[in-house]
Amino acid sequence: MTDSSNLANLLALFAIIPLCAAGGSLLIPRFQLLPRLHTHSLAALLAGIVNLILALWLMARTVQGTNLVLHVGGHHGPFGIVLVADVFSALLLLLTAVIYLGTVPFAIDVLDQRDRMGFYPLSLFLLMGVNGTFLAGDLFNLYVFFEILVITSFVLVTLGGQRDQIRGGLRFVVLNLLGSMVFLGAVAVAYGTLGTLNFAHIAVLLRQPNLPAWLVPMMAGLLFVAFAGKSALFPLHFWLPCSYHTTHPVVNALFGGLLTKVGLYSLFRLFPLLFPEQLAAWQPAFLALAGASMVVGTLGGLSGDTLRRALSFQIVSHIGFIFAGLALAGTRNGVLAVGLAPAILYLAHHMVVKTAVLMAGGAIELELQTGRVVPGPDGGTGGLLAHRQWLAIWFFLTALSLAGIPPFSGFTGKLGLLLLMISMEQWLLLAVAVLSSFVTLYMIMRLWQGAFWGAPPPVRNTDGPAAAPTRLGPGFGMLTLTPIAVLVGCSLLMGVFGESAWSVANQAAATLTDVEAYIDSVALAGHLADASH
Amino acid sequence: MTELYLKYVLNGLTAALILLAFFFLLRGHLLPGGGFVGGLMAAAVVELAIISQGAVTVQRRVGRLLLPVSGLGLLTAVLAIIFGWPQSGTVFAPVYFHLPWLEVEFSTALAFDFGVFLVVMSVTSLFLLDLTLTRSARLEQLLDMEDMEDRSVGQEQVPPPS
Repeated sequence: MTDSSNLANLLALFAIIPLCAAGGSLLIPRFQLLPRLHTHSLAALLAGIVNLILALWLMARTVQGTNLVLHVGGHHGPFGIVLVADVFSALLLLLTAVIYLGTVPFAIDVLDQRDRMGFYPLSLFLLMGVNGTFLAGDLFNLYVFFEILVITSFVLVTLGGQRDQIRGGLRFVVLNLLGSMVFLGAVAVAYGTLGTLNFAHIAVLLRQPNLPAWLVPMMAGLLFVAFAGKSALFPLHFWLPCSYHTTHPVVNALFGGLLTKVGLYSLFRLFPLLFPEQLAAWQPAFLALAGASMVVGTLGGLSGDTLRRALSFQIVSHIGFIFAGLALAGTRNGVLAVGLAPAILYLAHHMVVKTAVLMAGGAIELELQTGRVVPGPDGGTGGLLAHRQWLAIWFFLTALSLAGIPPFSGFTGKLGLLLLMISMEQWLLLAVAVLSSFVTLYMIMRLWQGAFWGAPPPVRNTDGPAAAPTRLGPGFGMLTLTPIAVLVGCSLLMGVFGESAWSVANQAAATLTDVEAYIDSVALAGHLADASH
Repeated sequence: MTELYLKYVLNGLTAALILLAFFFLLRGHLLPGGGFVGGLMAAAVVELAIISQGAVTVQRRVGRLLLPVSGLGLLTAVLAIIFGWPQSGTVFAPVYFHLPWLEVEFSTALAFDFGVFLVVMSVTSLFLLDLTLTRSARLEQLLDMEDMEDRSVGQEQVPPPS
């Protein structure tokens, strides 16, 4: 069922609301409203709340089986701009809204001088880019929203201007620009050969019998390279571990939750829709890349010398897990929805939990003023347990979820993926996945021990400069702990009510594989049929 | 390093360039041109002022205005996007106003273009100013600012107490 009535205009609000809040923040100078709140953070908070309400509304509508399609300005596809929202888009928009709203209080609590350097307007532009990517119905707007979020993230990576930030940011910028160029190349190939950029229209035109044989592999290959780079899949992952940990913890949490998922979303959206045969034909290579991502991400996480470096590098292994689901779903008989569902569930779990764990890790680093908590020759122990019991509990719970221990969401997603590997008889991949899960558990427990065990640091000194120097930083409060707790709660709910989570994931997977329904929902009133002649 | 001859042509050239920028902005309604091109032309005026009067002078005059103007442009564009929503049932739909006493047509598409114009002009001018401001000029600018804390930006490894 498709709804392209007046209500579909609300889809545009996902881009308009962050844009309004960011524009207002640029126009109105920053001044303090309350001791902890100024105009910019208030704008970000309000935009985040409205965005969450919108996302909840969209989820409630699409989960009943209604796709929302907005033909922007009344111009119909394939030449007009089309925004499409199905369950998969709505799910990711909802997760994005939750994560964004979770990081704003964290930012209000702990942000340093970057507050004055425009963190809040930039984060709003990032939100706009991410939202738009999940809604875009054609390659060019996908590219445009990608650029909005990538260029914003260039600034956010280097915000603060410290030496290692510039060094890491340079690789980040170079690889992402190369990825954008490859993406633009794919756009050019699609437009030059098929004369259209609309996803549904491309899907229709690719069924023509007498296409050049190189066309589909070339488009699929270019798009794969572009999105694999953006989602930090194995050979193109190196920008992530060298840039993420240099940013402020708030930026790191925001990136860990949102940035690489946009590339994964595009792979999930486009490969079942446009190149299902390619997904099956290239399955061995894709599975190898997924397995290599798991290994590299896990080992990189294990070897990370600081808390956030280890946690950030570990993202790569999760990307491998999620991508393995997509690769396994491709068979000779088309893309299997049962294959995509566990990957989607794992994606949702990963976005929530990774943000929570990076927020907790960032809070620890801010408190200790160092990330070197890995027990070993050059790392001390933090001993935070005495001061920060609640943080210890939340970090422990996110760690369990991250490693895939029931009853958390990590378990259901991982179980689904492992069962899928068994049913596909991918024993090597299965072994790699199970091993990397255990190593992840070991790694994160080691980090927890390092941060919380050991001799407690001296209590913050309030007796004036004569007392002993302190190790504790400025600290954090409820505004940091509450979002972490809420995200952990989300993970717990997704695990406990696993049945409902499964049904949503199954529905999202079904919309991804149901190519006909997607084409029907975008092409209204025979516009597509006219255009293809 | 201000150029003498530029100072003399500046007044006339500024007016001509601003007119040209608006010409391109209005022309873009039906023909090549529009907010982006017009905004670049307007930024050329700022660049001319930078070359002839020095970046510090320009920074003192308009530096603080540029970022708010870009925000204003964004809001103008957004307003133009949603203006036609109640009337035509979709965002981005243009609404035309006929102003009979002027015999010109005004549309929300033009308002959108004007928003783009403001954003492009102000952001390009910000880039140009930032590229031209030398280290000493930046220092001078920093000394002008009341917010002295900003000088410590980027020098500390750990965040200061909030």
